[in-house]
Amino acid sequence: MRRTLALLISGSIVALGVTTLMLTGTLSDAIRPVDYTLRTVRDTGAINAVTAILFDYRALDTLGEATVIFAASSVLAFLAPRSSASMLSVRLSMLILYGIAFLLPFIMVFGFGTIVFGHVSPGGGFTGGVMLSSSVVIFAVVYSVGGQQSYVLPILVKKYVENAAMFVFVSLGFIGLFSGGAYLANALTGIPLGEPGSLLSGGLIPLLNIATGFKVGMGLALIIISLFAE
Amino acid sequence: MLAPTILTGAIVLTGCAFYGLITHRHMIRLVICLNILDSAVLLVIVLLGYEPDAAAPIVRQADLQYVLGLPHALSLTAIVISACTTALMLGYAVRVHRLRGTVYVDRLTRWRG
Repeated sequence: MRRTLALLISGSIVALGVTTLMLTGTLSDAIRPVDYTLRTVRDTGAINAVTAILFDYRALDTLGEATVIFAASSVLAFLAPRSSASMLSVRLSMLILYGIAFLLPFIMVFGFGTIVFGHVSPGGGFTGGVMLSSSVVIFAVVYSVGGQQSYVLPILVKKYVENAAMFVFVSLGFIGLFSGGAYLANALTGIPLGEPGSLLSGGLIPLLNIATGFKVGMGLALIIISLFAE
Repeated sequence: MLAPTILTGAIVLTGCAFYGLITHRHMIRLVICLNILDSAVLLVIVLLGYEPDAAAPIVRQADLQYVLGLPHALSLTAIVISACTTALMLGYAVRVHRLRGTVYVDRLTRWRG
């Protein structure tokens, strides 16, 4: 009964969507990107338009996004207390232990590189932060087997790093406020934008990237570790 | 030709997600269905800025055609939010399993105690 109802509802959704699509044509006919992308380079000095939008035009949105991760990690640390990692009682082979030991530095360097070069190449604070958190999680999963919790980076360190990165992000926003512009303003504050394409360019964007990277990395690591160390 | 195909895919994914949301009662499967719904929405958002034969929005030459960067930034926001809500839902499922001993939604309606 329920399956028939579900088939009916989802089938009608698909049918409605496909007919609307056939009647209206594609979406991309309606939208023409003008020289928007070139304008972001002039305005912000960062050649990666996505990072320029995230950390300059919509930096306040990004602050809200960082707050969401912050709230989620706090709530999860409260909701799922970390007593003992009973899930991780599997013996891993020597191959995994040494293979991960070989791979982890590369993962971390790639994560840091993605964060630091976020405004001149694909990537940014969020992507690199996820890589950092994945390295922390792999480390915890592989080397805390059998309840050896001492190998894992302590939870408090992660919490302190996350809070410090959040504080840095918020206080970087006040630079714009004190120099007469808006909160989290970049080019209006008189910060030299640098030559587009070089590492030291984009004004506040690299600093915000680094803060967001640490924040996202430690926040996601906290979330995942609170979930599996249950 | 690519855009209508991807849009159809997104619509089919939406249908699959709704089918799963209606038929399943297991909390983690419901979370997976919500994630599928998220992916469908993300496909549509990214497609909004799609342009045939345009480069990724990293400006190395001025005379090239680039795709619109704004949908990418918005989809990044949506990915982060969906990851956080997924984590919260999973944490809630863990909590419910510890308190009630089950993660099936329809078995949670009975009072206990």
